[in-house]
Amino acid sequence: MPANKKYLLKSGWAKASKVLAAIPGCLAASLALHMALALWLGFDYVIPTSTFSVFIVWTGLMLLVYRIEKPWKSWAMLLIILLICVIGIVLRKF
Amino acid sequence: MTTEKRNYNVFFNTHTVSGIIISVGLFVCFFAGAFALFYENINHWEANDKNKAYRTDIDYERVLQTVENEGYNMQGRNFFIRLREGEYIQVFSRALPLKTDSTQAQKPEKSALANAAMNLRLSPETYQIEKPESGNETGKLGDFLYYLHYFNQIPNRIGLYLAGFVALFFLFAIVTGVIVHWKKIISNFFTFRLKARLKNLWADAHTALGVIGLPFQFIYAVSGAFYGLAILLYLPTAAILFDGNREEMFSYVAPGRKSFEKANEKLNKRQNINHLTKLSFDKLGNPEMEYVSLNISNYNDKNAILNVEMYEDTDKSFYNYSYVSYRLSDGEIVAEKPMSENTYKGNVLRTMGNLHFASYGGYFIKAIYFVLALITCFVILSGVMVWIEARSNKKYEAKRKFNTSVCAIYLGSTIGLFPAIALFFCLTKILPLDMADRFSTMSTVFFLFWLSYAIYAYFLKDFHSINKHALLLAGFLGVAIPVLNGLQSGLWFWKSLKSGYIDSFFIDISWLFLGFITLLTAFSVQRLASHSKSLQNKPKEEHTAIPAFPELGTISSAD
Repeated sequence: MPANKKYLLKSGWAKASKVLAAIPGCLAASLALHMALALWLGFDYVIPTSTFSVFIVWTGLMLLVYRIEKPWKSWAMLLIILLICVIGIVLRKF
Repeated sequence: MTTEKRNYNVFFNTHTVSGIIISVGLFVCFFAGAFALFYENINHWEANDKNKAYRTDIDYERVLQTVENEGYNMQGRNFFIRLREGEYIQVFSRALPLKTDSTQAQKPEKSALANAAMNLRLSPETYQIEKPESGNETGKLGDFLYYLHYFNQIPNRIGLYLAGFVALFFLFAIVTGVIVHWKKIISNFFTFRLKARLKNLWADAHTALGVIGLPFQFIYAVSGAFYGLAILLYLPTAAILFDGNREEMFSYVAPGRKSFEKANEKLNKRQNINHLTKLSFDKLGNPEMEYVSLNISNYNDKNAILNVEMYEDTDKSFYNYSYVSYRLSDGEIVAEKPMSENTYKGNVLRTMGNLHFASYGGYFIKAIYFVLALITCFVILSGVMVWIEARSNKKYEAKRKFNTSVCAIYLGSTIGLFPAIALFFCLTKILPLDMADRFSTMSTVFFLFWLSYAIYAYFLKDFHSINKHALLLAGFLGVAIPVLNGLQSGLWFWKSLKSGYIDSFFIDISWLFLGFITLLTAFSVQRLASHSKSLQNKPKEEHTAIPAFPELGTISSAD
């Protein structure tokens, strides 16, 4: 009954890459998303909401990282999210 | 569909890996946390105290004077003062920044104490400073269990962060678990195969109880992640959005605790804090008020603000607080929030806190939480059992010894917590009260007992006996608790309720009940056995009718 190994990543580097993408990578993307939303939609609702939604979005992104097959595609997704959010933050804040 | 098969297997694997990694930690969180829901009751029970009525007649001016006499630099500090559990006044303040651009000449450094952070306890009767609260050693069983549930015994907040990550992976495990289980979520809910293979029994129990506890577990996964890992949210957000001003950010999540700009001028004459507190009681307080806390921003500054927060009896409403803020220079009201006026941003953290600490419905809600927490513990353990049973076949023969040892240690260190906690309760009533290092002795015995049970389990290696022996121990110790309490304090549970010792009665009766159920279970439990061998002789359809995870069975055999 354990998961069929045929479908899992074999290389240790690829596994490590996914873990890195899932934990610090998704945290960064989730934080950036919330900061950008806070700047564009107003602090009054987004900042209090972020106390719980940061962790829910973090987990959601982790799922996507594992849903996507190739590690580099997972990283590409995270970097695109980060890039858009950082542009959003810079436009509003600086 | 290969992608579907691939996704199923990948999520199944992440569910297994994240679940196995956190299992023991998560079990401790939920098991100790279940007891920690009642930590105030346990503290009262241990000390043979009556529930103290809440006092609102604290002399705050005297508190501040005592603190100042202690040698602290008071100028510009933010203070948080409250009466905790009716027993002691807690005064909390952060360290002052090293360099203040205050114009008034600072006194030459008297000691390192002057600008340091403070967390003091004062007696509400004598206003003398009691021994400063140092981390975990409050010397109370309820507090100990509360700290244990987020591993706070590991110093420097490492335990807290660890618990935060455990909660985060728990959230991940819940969601992947639901994804894996999604297609069969309804049909499997009504399936319980006692007579099939052991693996199926555990899998059915794991999924059915997992679905029942899902909303409860989701609440705890999210709020636990926040309490443990809040720093990961606050530090970057404050740095980027608020230019490093954390106080300003906190004003969005806790408007009542908001701090104010300093005027950097010394305040020569200010209003009496006791008087303003009384005024705020008259204005927004009510007879059912049970808890008051004071926030003073920029003490002795021209722009000093006093914020009085008042809490109503928490069993009666979900959002139960009001506050009034006064400017200390002229006593003018700067902000106020009546009980009935609630805003979104003021209540997000309150909601999370109420849901996490079950502080909104009295004993009834807490009892439900307790049962759900134990169910969650069962889901964790049955998950480990599915893991081991799925590996008890020829394919894993080479690793069987290793897997069995791992599982034995897991079981020993999880289920061993139950008798260890019961033992701690007994010890508080056995050891003489005037013993030196009483509490640290008890906690050492607790940890040693827990450790030795795990070692015992490792050598025993028989899962049935590991569980049974732990239940027997916990049952006997549990039933002994009310007896020992009666012998030590004379507060037998048939007397304590009549004489008003509600918590003493409550904890005694709960342990008596819990102990008897545990003993009943321990004596009636039968050794579980896989029925797969006997099934092999039966007609084939019965054997293959319901594999544990049918979709996986077909997927695995299809390739």
